[in-house]
Amino acid sequence: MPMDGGYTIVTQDNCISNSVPLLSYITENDSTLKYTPPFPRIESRVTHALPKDLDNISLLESNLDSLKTRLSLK
Amino acid sequence: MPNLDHDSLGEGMDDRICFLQHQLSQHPYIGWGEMPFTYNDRIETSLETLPKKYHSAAISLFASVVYLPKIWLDEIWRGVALELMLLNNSRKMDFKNALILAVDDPGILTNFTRVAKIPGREDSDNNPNFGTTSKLIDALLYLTLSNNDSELLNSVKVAVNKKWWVLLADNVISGSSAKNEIEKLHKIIGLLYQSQIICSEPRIVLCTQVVTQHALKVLDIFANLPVIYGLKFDDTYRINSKDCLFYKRQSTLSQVRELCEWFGDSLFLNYSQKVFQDRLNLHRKKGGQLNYAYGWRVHDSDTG
Repeated sequence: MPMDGGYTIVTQDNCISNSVPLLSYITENDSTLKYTPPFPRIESRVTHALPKDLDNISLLESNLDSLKTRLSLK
Repeated sequence: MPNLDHDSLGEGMDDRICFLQHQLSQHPYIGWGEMPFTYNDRIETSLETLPKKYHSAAISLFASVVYLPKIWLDEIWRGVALELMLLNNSRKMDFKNALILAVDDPGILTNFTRVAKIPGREDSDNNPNFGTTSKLIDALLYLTLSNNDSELLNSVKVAVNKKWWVLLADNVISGSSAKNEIEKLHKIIGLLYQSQIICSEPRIVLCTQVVTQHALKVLDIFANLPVIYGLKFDDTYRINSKDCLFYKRQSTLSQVRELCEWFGDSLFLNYSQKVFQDRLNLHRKKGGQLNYAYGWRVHDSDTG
């Protein structure tokens, strides 16, 4: 069996996303199955855009001399 | 009390639900808003839409919730701050030699410093408030393009010279977000050190309220990474693990799993909303189960 979440942890603030969806998943209006979970979850991310941090680190790497000059910490 | 047959599977669910009911009456779940719900009310509402044959399994699942009130989690932050202080060989915890960043949400940092009574969060001379790793990267990158922002320049100078880089997360369940953040911090430190912008490498520490045994294994790839945490959950707390210990009888666990699978098949396989489809696709790409029956895939290197 794949290691999908499977936890039942709920904090007072929110149900964690690795917990079983039956605990927290709210069905949308157009869903054929209407379900109200005991711990409705508020999603912290509604889009799953890839983070740009790694690209920015690469950019930083190619401009390190400039950063070094600015910081002049040596 | 509503007439729910909590104990039809002979698992002693009544006591567990009473305990949760008590916890929730003292520390209501934020998502319930101001409505005066009881746990029994919530369970009854949830059962309304589930087929009758799954009611006992659903009650068994709802009775197995591990509910963590904020008051406990705040106490954990205080304990974590104390351990951090010991690791730091310091008699008091402050921002003077630590750069504190949060995974995803800078609000965690505010909460941590408030409840752990760590002074100086807004002292910009000691604590350049970048909040998250992303903001620190943005600031460094911005400096490569502009030399007109002396305030930012000073903040970055202070930040990169801290002896400790502390990463805060409210929970580390899969370990993948924390792992990604730590990898980014290592990359930044490596670049700064190689180019002699800093003379010594700061030590990274991960602090979290809740961690899983699984996440600790994922984080094992970092040699000598101190992970300070309050609560640790192992696989006995996972419905889909062979080690699950929630129930006395294997048949109860099987029924709970059957319910989860039914829910996944009935709901997620037919789901049309784009936002959630994106989430499902990402989950499946990581090797997660097609019907999302147990929630978010924990890590892409898992083999089960």
